[in-house]
Amino acid sequence: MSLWEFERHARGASLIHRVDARVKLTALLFFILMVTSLSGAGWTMALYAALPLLATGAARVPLRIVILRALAVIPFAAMAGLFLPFIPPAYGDTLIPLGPFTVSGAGLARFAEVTSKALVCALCVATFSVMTPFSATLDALRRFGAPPAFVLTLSLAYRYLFTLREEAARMIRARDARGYAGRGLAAAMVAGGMVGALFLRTHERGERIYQAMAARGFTGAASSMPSAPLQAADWVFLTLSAAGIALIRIAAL
Amino acid sequence: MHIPDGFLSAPVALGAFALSGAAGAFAARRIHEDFDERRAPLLGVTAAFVFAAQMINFPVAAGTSGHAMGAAFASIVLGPYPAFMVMAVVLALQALMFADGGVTALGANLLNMGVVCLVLYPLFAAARAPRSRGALLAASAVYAWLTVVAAAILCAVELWLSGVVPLSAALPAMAGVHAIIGAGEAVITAAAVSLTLAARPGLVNTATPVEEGA
Repeated sequence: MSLWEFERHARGASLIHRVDARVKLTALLFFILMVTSLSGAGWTMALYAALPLLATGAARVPLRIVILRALAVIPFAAMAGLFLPFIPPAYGDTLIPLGPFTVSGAGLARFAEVTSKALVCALCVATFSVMTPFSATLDALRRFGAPPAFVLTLSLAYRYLFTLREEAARMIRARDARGYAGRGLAAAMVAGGMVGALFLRTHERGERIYQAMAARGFTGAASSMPSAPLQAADWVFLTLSAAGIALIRIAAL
Repeated sequence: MHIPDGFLSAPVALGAFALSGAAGAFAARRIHEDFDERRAPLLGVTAAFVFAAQMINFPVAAGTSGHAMGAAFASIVLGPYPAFMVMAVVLALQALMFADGGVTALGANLLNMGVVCLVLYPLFAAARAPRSRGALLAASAVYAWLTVVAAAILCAVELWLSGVVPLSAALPAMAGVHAIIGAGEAVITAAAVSLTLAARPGLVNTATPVEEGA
């Protein structure tokens, strides 16, 4: 996936797209804090899930893109799910048959709670990341006082992430095209050699980038255009989203 | 193994943030020892490298495949403090842009994958003290294995403290599975260090260079 593809829906004319990244980031953090502080799953979680989906619809971004990005939580949830049969039932607990196993009702409820929280939060992060150009996110982080060196490193990491992934994909294709069929130790050593080769290429690229930046007057900090002050629409979005998030949280008490 | 949002209880998440934050402040102060700060572009590209290196997979057995994680390798070639910054950037990027690892779990994930490398680094430095190629490669392999297993153990403990998994089952299972995954990481890391050493010996941790002809 190229950077262009990754940010295909990040720029748009919709109201959601035009909201300042600082506002979106604040709403995202508030959302995640409220969702993770809930106890128990159920209808509140469905209501929370509706908020990012609503934003996706309003921005006319295909839902599939957002959902695909949010599915990154599934492997971890599946791993945690493997331990379900081993949770000892508490006194007075209901026992639920699950395939060949019997699992603790309380354990299953806890697992459903954390998994739905993870999914709902990932849905919101995905909505944010699909609809916000990363340059705007970086600018928001800078305005929020993140260390400049950290933001600069973040920006370069993102910029070269796609380039280096293509480089790695080329190396993998080259290995596979030559019919390499080793396994186990031999395959791991080949993979290690590829990692080393990728690092050498990365390092040389990094030196070139640094020299190019130094030649253009880089002294350790990147400067950027000051971002525009928040508009009325930003304040409206902030108020509405914060009110929605808080109302669901209060209703759940 | 990136912990998503929702899996950690508030005390565990906050405690992990405190520990990782303290380690970050410490690393930020010591980073000058290993690294000229004006060369920050190199750190950024190395963070992108860690992402890309995770794509390089190899078949293990029965249709499963392993891939590099790269945290230990980054520590070996960059030194522990710059590598910690690299891991912080990688995890922040994964949490914010790829929904891989939670925003509230960022402290815990950094603890498992960043602080662990930092804390275990003195072991690596001691093991490679003989300054021979063999000692360096052996130290790299053991260090890579330890970081993977320690990360898995920490992850199991964090989930147990949060009341998500029982420790009696999760700890042996996570440690056991990652003892095998860690073996893959050990081989990959040693092979990657060996290649780097052959091609650009100066790149491998300039603080304690390998003696010529050793």
